[in-house]
Amino acid sequence: MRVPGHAILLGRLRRRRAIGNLKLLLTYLRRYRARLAIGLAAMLLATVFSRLIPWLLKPAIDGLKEGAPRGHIAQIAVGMVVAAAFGALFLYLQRWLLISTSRRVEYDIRRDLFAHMQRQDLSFFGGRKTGDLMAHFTNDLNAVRDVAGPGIMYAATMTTMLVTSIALMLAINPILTLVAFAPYPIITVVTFFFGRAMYRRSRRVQDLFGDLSARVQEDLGGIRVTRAYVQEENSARNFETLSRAYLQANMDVARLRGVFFAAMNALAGTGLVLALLVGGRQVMAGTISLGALVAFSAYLAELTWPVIAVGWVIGMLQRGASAVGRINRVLESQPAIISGQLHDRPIPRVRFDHVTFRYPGAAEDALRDITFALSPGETLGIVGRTGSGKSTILKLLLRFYDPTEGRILLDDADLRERDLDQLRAIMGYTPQDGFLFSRTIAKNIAYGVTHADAESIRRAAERVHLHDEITGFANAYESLVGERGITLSGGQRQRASLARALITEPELLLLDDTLSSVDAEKETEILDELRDFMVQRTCIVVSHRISAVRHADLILVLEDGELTESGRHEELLKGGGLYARLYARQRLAAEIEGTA
Amino acid sequence: MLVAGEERLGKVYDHKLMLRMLHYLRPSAGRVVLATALLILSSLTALAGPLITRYAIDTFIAQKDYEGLLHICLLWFAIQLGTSGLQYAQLVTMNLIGQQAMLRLRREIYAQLQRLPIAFFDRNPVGRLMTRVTNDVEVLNQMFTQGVVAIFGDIFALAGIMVVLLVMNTKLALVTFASLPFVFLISIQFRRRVRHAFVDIRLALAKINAYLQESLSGISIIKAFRREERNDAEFAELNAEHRDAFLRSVRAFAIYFPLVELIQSVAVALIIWYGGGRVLQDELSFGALVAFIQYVGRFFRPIRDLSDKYNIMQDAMASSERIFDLLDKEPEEAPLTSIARFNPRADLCYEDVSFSYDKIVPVLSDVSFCIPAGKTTALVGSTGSGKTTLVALLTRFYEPTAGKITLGGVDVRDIPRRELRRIMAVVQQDVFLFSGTLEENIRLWEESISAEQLAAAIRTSHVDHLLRRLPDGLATQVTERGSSFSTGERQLLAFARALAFDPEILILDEATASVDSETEALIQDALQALLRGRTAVVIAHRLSTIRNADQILVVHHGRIAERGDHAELLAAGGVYARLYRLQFKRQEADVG
Ligand SMILES: Nc1ncnc2c1ncn2[C@@H]1O[C@H](COP(=O)(O)OP(=O)(O)OP(=O)(O)O)[C@@H](O)[C@H]1O
Ligand SMILES: Nc1ncnc2c1ncn2[C@@H]1O[C@H](COP(=O)(O)OP(=O)(O)OP(=O)(O)O)[C@@H](O)[C@H]1O
Ligand SMILES: [Mg+2]
Ligand SMILES: [Mg+2]
Repeated sequence: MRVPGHAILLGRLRRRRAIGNLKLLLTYLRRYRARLAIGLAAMLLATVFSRLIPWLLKPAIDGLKEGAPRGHIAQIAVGMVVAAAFGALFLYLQRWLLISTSRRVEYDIRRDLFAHMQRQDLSFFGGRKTGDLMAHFTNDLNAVRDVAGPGIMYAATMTTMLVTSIALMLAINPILTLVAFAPYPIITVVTFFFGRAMYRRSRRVQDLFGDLSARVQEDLGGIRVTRAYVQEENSARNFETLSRAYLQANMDVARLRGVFFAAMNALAGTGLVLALLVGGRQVMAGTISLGALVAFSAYLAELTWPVIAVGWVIGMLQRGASAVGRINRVLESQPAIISGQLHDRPIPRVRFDHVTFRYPGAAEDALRDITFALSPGETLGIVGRTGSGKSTILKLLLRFYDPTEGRILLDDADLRERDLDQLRAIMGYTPQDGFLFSRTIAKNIAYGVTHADAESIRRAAERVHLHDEITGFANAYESLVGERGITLSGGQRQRASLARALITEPELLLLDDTLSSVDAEKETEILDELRDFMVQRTCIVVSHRISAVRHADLILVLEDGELTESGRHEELLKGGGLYARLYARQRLAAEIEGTA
Repeated sequence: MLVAGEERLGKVYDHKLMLRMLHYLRPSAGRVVLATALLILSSLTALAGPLITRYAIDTFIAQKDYEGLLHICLLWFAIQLGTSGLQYAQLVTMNLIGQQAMLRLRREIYAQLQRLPIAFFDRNPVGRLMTRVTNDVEVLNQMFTQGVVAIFGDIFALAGIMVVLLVMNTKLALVTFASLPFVFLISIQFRRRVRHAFVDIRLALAKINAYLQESLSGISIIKAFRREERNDAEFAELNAEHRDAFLRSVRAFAIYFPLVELIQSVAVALIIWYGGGRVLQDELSFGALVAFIQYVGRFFRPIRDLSDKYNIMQDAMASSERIFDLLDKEPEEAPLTSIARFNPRADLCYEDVSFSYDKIVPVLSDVSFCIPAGKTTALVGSTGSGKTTLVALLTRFYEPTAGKITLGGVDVRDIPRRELRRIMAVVQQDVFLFSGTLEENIRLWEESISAEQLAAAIRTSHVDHLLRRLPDGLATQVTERGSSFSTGERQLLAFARALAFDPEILILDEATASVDSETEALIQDALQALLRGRTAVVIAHRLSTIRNADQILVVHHGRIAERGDHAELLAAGGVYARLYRLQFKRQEADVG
């Protein structure tokens, strides 16, 4: 099999990038420069003091051999304890400063990641799974933290131990040192290949963990469907397949690690054996003292652990690098929706100017060449077939997305030139699905305002005729709403989300089929009352019910993303298009009921 | 929302929990024995080093026997290789044990989640439950791979070293052991601190997960209401809680390890001082003293490791407690003593049914009515009046607090839920789509649905119109919750799903509320033929949707306020007539 040259090159580049990923980590670590510096200094001192102990072994043993007085030995012993006490003090500083920094870095990255994610535009979320995104905050961040704390600490400790030990060993006997280190070049090579393989394999484990989380998250979200359709076993089977793949991936990592540790153990052990053999010979020849050999062996034995830990640290670095890579991809992604300038905020005028829009990754345009204008204080009604692009118009206004072609103007300024925060502050939006958060009803209604007193929350609830129902709940306004609002009825949820929009007193009200799950009686009452509210504001009302839009100053009829009719109620009726048909259908239904 | 179980401080060691955890190792019993044996062997061979050094120094180097030194070195080399092999085998075996135990546990938790009552999911956020299946299990894995077996290993190593030391020189050994009480004291202090910190960490992590999950799924609301900054602050609080708990554990570790190391050095100094005296008095050989010093290092390693293991255990205890808490929850379906035979095509009757979600506020009170077999029954009524709840009792998502529901005279509680649900198909008010293909979303994972059945369902529900626009047709990928489809399109897909399952009883809860009237009418016409001979329950606010119903029930504040067909209800002049007139009058007004 021939591997094409560029593939190798690409592989190399990718690998370089893998470790290069850690650069991001450096920028975070930089904030804790002082702590890190002191921590590393403490580490150096701690190592030096811990080195002193084997160093003191040599005179002790040689002294004993030469029959030194007991007082001398005692002095050495006391010296050891003093050295150990300093060593312990610095070790404490080292651990506390270095490891705690990693926790702070973790905090910083988690904070920034969340802030950054929140500010991505919706196309970012469209292509990703919630479970996957969450894995960045748990698994990936753990891996990064491991690098930032123990990774750095052990890497630094190992290096110092290696350097000081080698220096001390060289001082004892250079030839013996060379012999003892004979296996180490092999160790370097093994470590290098191990690192590469480890990166790939741990990457796969992380990816599968993400898949697993995503799977569980979705299955739990859809539990009501799975139950209703008796699909428990089938979905368990899918989960099982994934779990097994995860097991395999983990075992791949374990086997690799096993081979590596065994190899390291054997190689480091070989060094010890060689040192004993050659050193023993030198003692016999009288080149070195027995004490020197003992001290030398002690240094070498202490090196075994760091050498083995090399693999561990490399694994950690690789995992960390791939995790930082994943996090980095998120942090690097720049939202396409960028904020513009602050403008005045009068009751807005809205204009769509030949707007065409296609969702990212979609095969067809969701809106094609839409043009209309709405004067301040006017109400726009939008009706149309399912999937014709009604909700999309609202999403474009909110700048969840930008048009592919054409412009949207608010008070004659392109939305793209306006301050995003202000733009959204102008608008009050009720989504079609009435999403609520799992907090109290009061907090849900007041979601969009910084400070809301009980009175204004109550007023908003009354406006949407929800107050009476809320006071009927066990904890009234303090009742917790289940995730997404599942503990409310469909209509209650919609009205709560309407109240959430009204309480912000928006200049531009966007209602997306907001009362579809509300009965006619309540709907009429709410709409009648809203009319007062709407007079001083520009409104866009999307609905399938003609009754909700018939009073609008302008009604748009959408079909398959195109604007097929527009005008006032009476004009559209005369036009005899879809609007007239929908009207006839809803009226006909009413008449049939009336005459039956 | 906090689940009570999470706030409890985990026990250090709970025998019952431990036994239960070990239960998951049972199928791997052979491997556990193997791993333990491998571990003991490898810790034994690892003990050889200092002994060999001692022997080499005292015998060969002292006597300048190079030949002997060479042989003993070769022997040591062979032992090193053997140890490496043993360690490899042991590591792989242990990981396999842990991974398999984890697989079993995951499987069981997942199955349990599929069995728990729906009310459980009303209360527990998905983000929190996810943690059970993923992170908590992962923690147990740590215990299985690094905990249980390794603890035996550590204890064994510790005991082995103690025996060797005692044999070599009893007095010196006892001097060495003098450090043990101090180590114990420190360890106890350390454990107390770490324990609290670990519980707090887990708790904070669960909160972070739940918060993330919700923020990510409600992202468009966050944006529309410009909550980004306030959410940053809210998140920062949870994040800080997590960090601070961690910092506490870091500090405990930072104090503990240096202290143990200090004690170790004091022990070495003691050996030199005391042992040195013995050597001077020729009571102890040089080799033995050197070996002693080497062993002391190894003596403290398992002690330190044991505290690490202790944390793993502590963590595992906390996780396992939560996991078993979940596993011990009463499943939705208690095993039935007798399974009643039932006829799916029979009248469904509610007999004095009352229901409350929270056992405080009644949602349904004394509801009695029948849904005649093969007929269409419509439920109308004000929002929040209890319509969805009524049908949720039918699929037994919840159980009536009083009264009963019967199918052809058989109490539905005597019918296993799964059997009951098999004859029904519900289009729920909240549509849920899975990520996967469109086809998977319609047939779910049911192989028994034929291609014709699927095609018919797609035609009737008007999904074919949607498919025509998608180049990949049924193979089109659906994003999470179907976010790439319009709300109406999602409803149509859910409709198609219900029809594909060809149910005896079809339940439509506002199934076309987000669909335009024209499409709705087309669906209704197509549905006519399909509904013939089937029982249907239809909930709708648009009265036009239910114009053909054989029976209309008006639900009002959890009671049936009126019943009859359309004409009868109009004549009665009650709630229905008023609702109807409202819709009608508004239409009339437009004409004028
Ligand atoms: N899972 C739940 N937990 C607690 N309370 C609930 C739950 N689901 C519904 N409720 C409450 O029970 C009452 C009846 O709700 P239900 O969903 O049955 O109304 P509905 O008639 O279907 O209304 P809608 O027409 O708005 O869908 C409401 O007050 C609601 O808040
Ligand atoms: N995130 C998305 N990615 C890709 N396509 C999308 C996305 N959201 C909507 N679409 C597609 O764009 C078209 C218009 O969707 P939109 O939600 O605007 O319809 P709608 O008129 O509001 O329909 P409904 O009456 O059902 O609410 C639909 O064909 C839909 O499938
Ligand atoms: Mg829509
Ligand atoms: Mg309902």
